[in-house]
Amino acid sequence: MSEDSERAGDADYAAFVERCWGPQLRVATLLVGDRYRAEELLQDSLVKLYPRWRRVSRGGNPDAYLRRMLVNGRISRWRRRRREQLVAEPPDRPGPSTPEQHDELHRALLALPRRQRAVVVLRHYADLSERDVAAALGCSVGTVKSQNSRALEKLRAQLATPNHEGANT
Amino acid sequence: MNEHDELSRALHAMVDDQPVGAAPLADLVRRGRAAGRTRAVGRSAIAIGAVAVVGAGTAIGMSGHDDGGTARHRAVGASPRPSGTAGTTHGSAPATVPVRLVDAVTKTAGTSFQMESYADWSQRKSGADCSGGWDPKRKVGWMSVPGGAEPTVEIFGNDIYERAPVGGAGSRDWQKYDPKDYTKDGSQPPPRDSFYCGGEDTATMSGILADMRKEGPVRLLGRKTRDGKKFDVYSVTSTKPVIGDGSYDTTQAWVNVQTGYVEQLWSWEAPKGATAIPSVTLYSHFGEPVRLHRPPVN
Repeated sequence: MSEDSERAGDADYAAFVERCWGPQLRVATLLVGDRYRAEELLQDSLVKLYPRWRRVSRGGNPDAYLRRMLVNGRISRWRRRRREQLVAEPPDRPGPSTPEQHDELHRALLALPRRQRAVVVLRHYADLSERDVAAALGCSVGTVKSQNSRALEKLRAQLATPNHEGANT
Repeated sequence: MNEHDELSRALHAMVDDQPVGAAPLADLVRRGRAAGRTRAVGRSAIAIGAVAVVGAGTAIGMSGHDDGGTARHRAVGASPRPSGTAGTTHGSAPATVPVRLVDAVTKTAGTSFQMESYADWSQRKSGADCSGGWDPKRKVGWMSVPGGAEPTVEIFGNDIYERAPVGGAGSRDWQKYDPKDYTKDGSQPPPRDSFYCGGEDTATMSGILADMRKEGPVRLLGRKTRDGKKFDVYSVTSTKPVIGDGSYDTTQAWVNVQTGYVEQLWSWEAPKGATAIPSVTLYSHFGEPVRLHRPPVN
């Protein structure tokens, strides 16, 4: 690869990262439950995307590709610990003030099986179509519908139960 | 307002006001380039310094302090001048691995050792990206990560102890985990038989061998001398480009002729005729005890 070509690819990649960082970090936060792990997952996904960038961007929908990486990404505790050390500016407080620890919806969301949680996040937060959710999860639209239905049922039940135990995740 | 709208609004309220900061672009690009290079040791393997070895059905992470943890490798001399040649390994015939390399991998995997890995060999003076030690017989090991004067992971059989590094967001207290805990939140289970060192995936000695085999026929390049030691160098270059720019993966295993251990693993990714900075993992202290004490857990 020539230097010019590499620079152009890097510029495209950089533009994509800057554009997607905020929205995808929020999606990842909902998927994994907290901001730090979300950032870990997103960073790892973007790192993996880099060497594939030319192919993926040629495919025309890097957002969908990244979304799929996030949904299917697995967080290694080893890496998570490692990255904690690599944070350029370590937080001096527990993190952004979020409803993470106390919000009932948050706990109910975390109590969902991982796949159902992904359906809820992609369908109701990212506002994807059932078809796009299916593409991200690598399943059928019918599966998305059934998973969504079950997830909503569980959320309703969880949120209707006062003082329910938080999810231990 | 229907259920979708209500849920959507609630989810947005949960996270949309959280500051997201700027993307760590430079770090992502640097790590992305390293990941591209180190894909050599298996399409999905290694990355920023994975390493090897054996564990009893559980992970083997490691971390930086043990009684003998100050040991450092002697620096390896000149780079092997990596270049992206495809070698002579074309064709669809089953890949082969020289028996002597298999023997060396088996011997190394069954022996205690220490290791250091460098994602970018040109930056080796700034220190290893990961170091650790592992005793496969006692199933005890440790791993340290960049800047980690302190250990972050220690393994005692099926018990895994972790402590967040200095400056990290986590607790500085040791925490003990059961390997089963790793699957509860969707995290990847500890890699079986692996000594994980911050890599994209994991690489065991046997995994490295398997990954080399997947790339193509592994051949003996010949005998080389480095730092006064003689090595048999085994190499494989992927039979086809592994990424769109025409880069080939190349992996080399350096076996010490005298000891029979795999002492060095080199990998890089480059188009034909081009040069690339390799990622390198060094092994040492074979057969020496790995001394650790179980950390206190609050």
